[in-house]
Amino acid sequence: MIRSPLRAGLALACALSLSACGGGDGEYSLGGYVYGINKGNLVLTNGDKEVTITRAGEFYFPELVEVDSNYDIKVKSVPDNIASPEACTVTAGRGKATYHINTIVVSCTINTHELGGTVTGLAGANAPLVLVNGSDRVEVSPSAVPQTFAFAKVAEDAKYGVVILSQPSDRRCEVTNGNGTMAKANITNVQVTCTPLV
Amino acid sequence: MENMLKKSHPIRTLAAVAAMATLASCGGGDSDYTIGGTVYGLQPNTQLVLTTNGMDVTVTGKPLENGNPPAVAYSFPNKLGYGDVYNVLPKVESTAADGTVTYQRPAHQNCSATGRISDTAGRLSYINADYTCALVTPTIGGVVKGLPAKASIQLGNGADLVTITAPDTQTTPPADIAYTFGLPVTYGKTYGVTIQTQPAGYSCSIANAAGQITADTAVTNITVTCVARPA
Repeated sequence: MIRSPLRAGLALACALSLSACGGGDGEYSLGGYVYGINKGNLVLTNGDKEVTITRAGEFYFPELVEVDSNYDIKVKSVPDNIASPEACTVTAGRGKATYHINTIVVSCTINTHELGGTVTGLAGANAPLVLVNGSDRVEVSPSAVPQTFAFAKVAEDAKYGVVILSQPSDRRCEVTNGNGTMAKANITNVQVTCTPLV
Repeated sequence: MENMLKKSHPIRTLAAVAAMATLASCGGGDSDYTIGGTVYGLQPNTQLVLTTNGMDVTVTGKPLENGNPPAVAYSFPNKLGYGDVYNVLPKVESTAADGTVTYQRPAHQNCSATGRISDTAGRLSYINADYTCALVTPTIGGVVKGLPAKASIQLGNGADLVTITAPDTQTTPPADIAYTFGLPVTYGKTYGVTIQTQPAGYSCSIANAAGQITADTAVTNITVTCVARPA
């Protein structure tokens, strides 16, 4: 209903310019679902038409497509925490609009980067140091060489927070640079400093 | 149970009459239908006891495959006759005075029906009384102490964030504010809470910041204490 005046206007414009107007005065909606984005802009194209998407979920091209027209969805540009348009895959992106289309699926993968750092003063301790980042858990043995740790990779723009789950009874350990937001590069400066307890 | 069996008799009688009338074999008669199904997600060496028609079957979880519990097929020892009503439920652990039934469940898991657990034998060509189990996922949280009016603090557990904001008016000293993270933590997994954003002018610290989920109940002891920073 809301579209009607627009469509009428568009049809008029088309008629006046005596040129083909793509799918603008069509009958059927064209869209589907986007997964794996958490910010804008994801821009998809169908021929010379575009849709700009800012969040995961259902999407539709702003203009309707003509009955029985062919569509071919491509990724034109991606949010800055996704490496390239190739990091988004389009499923069921090509077809003929024989009815409303809501079956296009675009799945994107946000960049991930390493989270890790170094431990000092643990050598010779009586038990391992156990660190967690949420539900991710790593253990550093007092005899490990080098005294470093690496968590599972963290999504770009996501928060992380490194906390000591358990430490040797003969050491007191503290974390510095333990929390923050994952940037566009690996985080390697989480520092755990252990001092002997006497 | 008695009632259920009695209820099915007219149907069985009809079937028998129909069989005689056509003078044809009716495919095995009275006890042809095996009641069974598949249990998904059951952790290794944990047990789900299912019951129906006076029978019990104990389903035991198998060793993990690729890190996941494999599906386990089960069937009840005795077959049912055509038209017998079955209703596969976990074994009852206790019934409260108000009639609320508590079912047995495998250690640290909840199971729910994901197949057709109740029907009459013979109506469907396959009986799939399936259950799906999953480890419990308690919530984690605690209280923030000493947060002054309108002040905010953001806590993180990994990438999961919770922002706690004190009301426009706070008592003196400030009342405790309870909080819970949005994402629960699966049994056996760890959590580690850090302060992502300190409230302006205040410095907060966390007690019991890290732990591992070793019970089925919520963690509520992650206490954040805020004090005014010296000017």
